[in-house]
Amino acid sequence: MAESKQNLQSALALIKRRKRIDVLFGTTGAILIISALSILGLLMASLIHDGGARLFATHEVREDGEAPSYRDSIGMVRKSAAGFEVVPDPYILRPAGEEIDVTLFDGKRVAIEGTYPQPGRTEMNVETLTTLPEGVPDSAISKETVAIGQVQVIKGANGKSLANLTLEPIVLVTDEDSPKLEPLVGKRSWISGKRRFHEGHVTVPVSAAGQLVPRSFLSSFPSKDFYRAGILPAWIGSLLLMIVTMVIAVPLGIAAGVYLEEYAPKNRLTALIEINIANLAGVPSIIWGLLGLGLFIYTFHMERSIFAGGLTLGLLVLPIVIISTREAIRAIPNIIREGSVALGATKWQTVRHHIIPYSMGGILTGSIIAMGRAIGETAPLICIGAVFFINSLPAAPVSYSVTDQAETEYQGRLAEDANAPAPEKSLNVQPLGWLNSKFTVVPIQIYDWVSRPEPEFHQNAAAASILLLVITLSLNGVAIYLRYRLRRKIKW
Amino acid sequence: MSVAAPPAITKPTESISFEADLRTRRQRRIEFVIESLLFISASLSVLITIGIVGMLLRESIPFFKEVSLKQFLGDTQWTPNFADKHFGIWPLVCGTFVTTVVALFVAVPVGLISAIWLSEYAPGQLREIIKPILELLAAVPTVVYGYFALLIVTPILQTMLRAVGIELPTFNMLSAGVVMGIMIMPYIASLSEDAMRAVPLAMREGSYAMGATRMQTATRVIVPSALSGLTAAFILGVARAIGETMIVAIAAGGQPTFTLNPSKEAFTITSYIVAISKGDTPHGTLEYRTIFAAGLVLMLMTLVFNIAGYVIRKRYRQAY
Repeated sequence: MAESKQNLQSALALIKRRKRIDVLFGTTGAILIISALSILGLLMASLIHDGGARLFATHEVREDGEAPSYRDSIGMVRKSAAGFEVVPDPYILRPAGEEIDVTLFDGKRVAIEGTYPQPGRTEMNVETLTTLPEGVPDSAISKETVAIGQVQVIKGANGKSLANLTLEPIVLVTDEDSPKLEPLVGKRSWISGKRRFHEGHVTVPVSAAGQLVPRSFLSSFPSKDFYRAGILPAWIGSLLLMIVTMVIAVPLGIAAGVYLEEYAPKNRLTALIEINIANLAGVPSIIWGLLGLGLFIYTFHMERSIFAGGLTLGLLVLPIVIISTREAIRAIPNIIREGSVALGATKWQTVRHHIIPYSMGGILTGSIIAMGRAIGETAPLICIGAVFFINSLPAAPVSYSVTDQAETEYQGRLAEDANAPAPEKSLNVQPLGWLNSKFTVVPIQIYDWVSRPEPEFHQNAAAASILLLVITLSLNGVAIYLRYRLRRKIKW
Repeated sequence: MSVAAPPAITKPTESISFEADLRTRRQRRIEFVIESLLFISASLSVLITIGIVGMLLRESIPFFKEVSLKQFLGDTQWTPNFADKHFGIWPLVCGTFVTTVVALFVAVPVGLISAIWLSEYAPGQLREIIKPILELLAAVPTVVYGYFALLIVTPILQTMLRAVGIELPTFNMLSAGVVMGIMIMPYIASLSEDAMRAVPLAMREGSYAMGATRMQTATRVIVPSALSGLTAAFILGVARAIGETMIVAIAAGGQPTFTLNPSKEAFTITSYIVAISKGDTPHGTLEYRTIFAAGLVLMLMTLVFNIAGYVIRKRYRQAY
């Protein structure tokens, strides 16, 4: 009697222990998978933290696209009693030497000798700092003064004192050769000229001036200055490359998938083709790059162009399109085919009017997944020769520029007469010229920026990564959603 | 009453063959052309494979004429661009090996346990939400993973290892391997989960009927039955890790060191190819051909693993 009670006790204890192990295992599994998924969230959060500001930041350039020099005065132009003046941006003072204690000048009006900051930065290098109350005669002030303004000392983030300088307006001195300043009133502009102290104000004799236009991250070219570097050629290159890739991969993939599912007899040739496709799906992406380099660039003598890159990527994603086409076609029940043939349709008529339309959903899903894969590919394009730093865009289909013909004529004339007139611009229609251009893509730009030591470029890389990630995840998200909807919609 | 004559058989505009086939000649010609075009599209894949193999061989054969196979497989230094040239492939293979092993250490346990959890423990609705998110994790471009490895994972690992007295350099194989593992984990989890779900319900129900807990069912019944699929998943993960380029190119640096220590910087086969392609190596030189020789080795390794996966899946697939 006591024995059976003991058996019952031990049995219950065993059950309880097994249940505990079971729950422990379950919790471990849940924790592991939640943490794996949250890595995605961690990645996005750190990207947004590092690069979010850069993604939406704008910087200013002159109308012709060049950056303003640090010798230029930059600010809002306005009319004054004596003519024109420009109100500069406030700056942070950075003393060039240890002897200058900026805290002594808090709340005071000062005259500064030093250098204005580089565009994109806000720190002004200060060599001398002189207090300048009202009524000081001109002779007492250095002619080399570049700025006059009000100092305000605040506590910086790490406890150190920062001196903010709010500058007084700079008087603009014009003569007959100076450009007109009237159209710049009320606009942010750049003024070229050496800053001098004269008659109680800092003045600039205007040699050149113009308006500043804002440029964003998405509309700027890459540059050696981090604040000016943008991904304009990169995202345009990615877009054009995607077009070529899809034009190559989708028709070929659908054709191959249709053949393998509808037409192929069960012989060794078909088995060979199927093995090959399965194999190609597993080839590392850099091998595709070597194929492109060896075959397209050096055997077929193509340029390192968008066309060569698109051809390579198109072949890379071809297996994805083929496999999803086959799966989509396989899902169509035989009733459809039998009904079509019973009505007297030929094989191609069945395929064209029934099989392909019904499988379009699956094919579309597969194409979107292929596009998402192709947009993130870096290694094959580096092998093909996508450049890392490009300063121009691929040729627009229709533009007002010098045609190739005009250029060659000019070169011919130049050989005879060194003073031949420059070639003229005219309407230049080259619809497929862009296929032959050098290019870069967003992932390569990210790779380039990440490889640099300066942390500011890492911010640029983060901003571009946000863009790339948003595009890739949206494409895959749409594909997943489409697949979900298609699965629910099956009516047969 | 006379019987009306039967209506005359109207002559068709084109000829009809006397076989049972009622299609016109024109129709048949169109069908033939279309089938040929479709066949050409399908056989393109064979041409592509021939192209890849041909390309690799075409540049590797001149390479092996200059560098003997004994040098290639026997030397332990890889310095094709230095004055003192060595062409031993082992540093590159070693780099690939170490990063792959680190990646698998991360991916296999997490992937397998996640797969078991998904197939045995997770309620159906939750599974449908988690699987797409796993797929999204696999869809992240590898450059972004490279950024993650260099700028986020490396500092974290440096802080962690400094607490135990190990100084981790900025470029090392450990961060690259860990992030590669994160990248492969969804593949392994997804394929393992498919393999486990393919096990018929009857075996599960039998196990539960005997009083087993979910964990016991999973580890003693499901995993052994799905072993061929799990092995295939593992091998696919290995193949994917071997071919990974950008994560190692960004985070593991560029020194052809021959070491099994993951805290060092090293080249893998893939990051070496990228480094040379980025530079100015002129076409036709021996240094240029090294990338094709390295590519050949990579292709052979990938092929071996793919074939192994296929054979294992075929031979050990349990007949249910």
